[in-house]
Amino acid sequence: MKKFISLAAVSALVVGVSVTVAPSAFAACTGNPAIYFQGALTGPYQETGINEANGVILAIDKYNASKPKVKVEYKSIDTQASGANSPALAQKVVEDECAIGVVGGMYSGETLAAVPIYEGGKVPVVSPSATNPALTNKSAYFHRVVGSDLVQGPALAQIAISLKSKLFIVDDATPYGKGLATIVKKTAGKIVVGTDGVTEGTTNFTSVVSKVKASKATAVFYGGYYPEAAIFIKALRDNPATKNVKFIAGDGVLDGEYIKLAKKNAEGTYLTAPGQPMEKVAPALAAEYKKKFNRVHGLYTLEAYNAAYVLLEGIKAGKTTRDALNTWLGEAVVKVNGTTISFSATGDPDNIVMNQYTIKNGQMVWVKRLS
Amino acid sequence: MDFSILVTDFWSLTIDGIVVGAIVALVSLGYTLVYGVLRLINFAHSEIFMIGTMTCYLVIQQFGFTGYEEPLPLWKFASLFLLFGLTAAMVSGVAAVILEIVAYRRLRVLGASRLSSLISAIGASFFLVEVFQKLSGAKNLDFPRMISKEPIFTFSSAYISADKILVIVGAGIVFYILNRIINHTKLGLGIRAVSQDEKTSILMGVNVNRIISYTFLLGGALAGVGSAFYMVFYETTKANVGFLIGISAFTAAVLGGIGNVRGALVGSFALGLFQQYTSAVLGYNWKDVVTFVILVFVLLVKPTGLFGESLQKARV
Repeated sequence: MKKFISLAAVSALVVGVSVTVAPSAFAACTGNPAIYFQGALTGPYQETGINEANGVILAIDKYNASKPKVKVEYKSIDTQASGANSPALAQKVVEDECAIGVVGGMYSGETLAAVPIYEGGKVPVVSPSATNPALTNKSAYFHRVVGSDLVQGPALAQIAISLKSKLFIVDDATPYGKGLATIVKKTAGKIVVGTDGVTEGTTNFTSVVSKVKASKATAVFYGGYYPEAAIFIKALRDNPATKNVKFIAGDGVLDGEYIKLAKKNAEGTYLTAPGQPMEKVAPALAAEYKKKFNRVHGLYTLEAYNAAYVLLEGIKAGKTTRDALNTWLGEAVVKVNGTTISFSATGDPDNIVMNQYTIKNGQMVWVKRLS
Repeated sequence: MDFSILVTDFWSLTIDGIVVGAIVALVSLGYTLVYGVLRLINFAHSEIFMIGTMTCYLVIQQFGFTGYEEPLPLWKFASLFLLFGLTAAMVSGVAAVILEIVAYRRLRVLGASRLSSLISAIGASFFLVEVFQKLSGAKNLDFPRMISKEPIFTFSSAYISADKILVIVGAGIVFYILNRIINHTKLGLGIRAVSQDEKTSILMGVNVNRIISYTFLLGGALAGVGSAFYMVFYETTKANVGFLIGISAFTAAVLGGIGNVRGALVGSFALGLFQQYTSAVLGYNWKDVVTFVILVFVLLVKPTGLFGESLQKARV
């Protein structure tokens, strides 16, 4: 047995070594360069993921239809938005000699875990929706088209303050949820009357509701994603003492699936996102999207499209190696769908927007631009 | 740390704790019954529970409920609840029997070590979770609201709603029936005999394989009933729903003394209440930390658990 284990260890080591050597073999790509999408295509977070992936597909298809010199292939890795899955899948991308860039990751946790791997393989990454501040300046190969939670957090706190609320803060212990909650707490200051933390995947919010009730809060901020948020808001609405509290949450909750799971309880939720309302900013593209995929776009469909568009512009400009494309991204100024995208040296966009949304009559509704 | 919540909201926490404890107990009994006859921790039992929740979901889907908001009239709810509760109990029970035949029986017949069975249990658990991940698209599946959650009456700080009454009373009835089965039927006698001494019970003419199958059937059915209560109370499920509740139920069984039915019951309610209190005072994320500290402490002082009697013989 012992012998077997040491044999296994040695072979694992050999595999590991050969894996780390692989990226230099990039030049050996015989087909077209490929842009990967990293995100959840299955699992509880797939709604957001599919909406983003389709945005990337739309951008690539439109690009290929314009008869470019170099055609681009769409590929994807399905991380289920988990930081446990993303490093190994990112390694797959690094090893794919034709992989030239990545649109992703979709959520902060999976992105934080995957970026070092991409950096090792020198793969340029443009995230359409990862907002955790820890990603700022994380790597010379990481960029994003959305502002970080250092913008979103204060915007959310400002909503709570303007509602003259006593605020109770709950987070889901993920890098995104906990990170955003910490910023909200710091900015909201004195109006915070209590906090609690749950775990991703929990269904039992009864004790949290009791705490909200005991704190006499008039508003609750939830830092986390829509599957748990839907269960939480139901639990709050079912308790007569917390029935009327205002519910405030960030972009992780802003998804069609939230409305589906929470139903009428979702109505009136105060939501923010660094994403643009596609139907207002790019109505023609939104219609094209609907026609092509037979579904309505989601939050971040536009951002995913834009992220892919930026990479495609680079390829169009003749940057067909990973390194050349990455250098180009550092200097590029790309105009697309009414916004100008350029990246600062930290990887964050120069042009940051923050929007407020709500749920009305079972629909996601854009309220106003906050910054 | 805010202890005042224990005073101001004592009853609301207690009622919720009892509801959670009742659901955990129904799962916990499956662990303890199987351990009693086989000396095996059936780690796939949490997935038997999951299969129960999926069955409830599918049965309700058949009726075309697409998650509307208005609760049903009582008679309609009662008949539907009986329908999906009994179906879940049946499906879970049969699934548990199949699990025993596929994953454990052959190993037992060949005289494999208990460790092999344990690994087989863990393997079966992973297998079932992954299969259901694929089948359900790994999504949260939403169960429609079938019974009003408006409080019927208020007891101190606690709002008592129909779903809580249903879980508490329903679980009470199931425990009573189980008690009758274990203590007053031939099957119960057989289960107790095999638990006490397998070899002697064979010599006394007990068909051990049949008793084991029945035990899995019983444990699975209990988990199935628990899953129906779970669906009414929490209104959601997913492929890995069994994980958290399985850990709670297993812990409760060990706390009470695994192999001991009464121990599993007391352990579950103690755990449910305790977790509710600690999460209110210290924060939700502390509840498992404190729970496991208590568990370790109880086992240090009394290795057989609070009511344990069968663990002693079970040293592997």
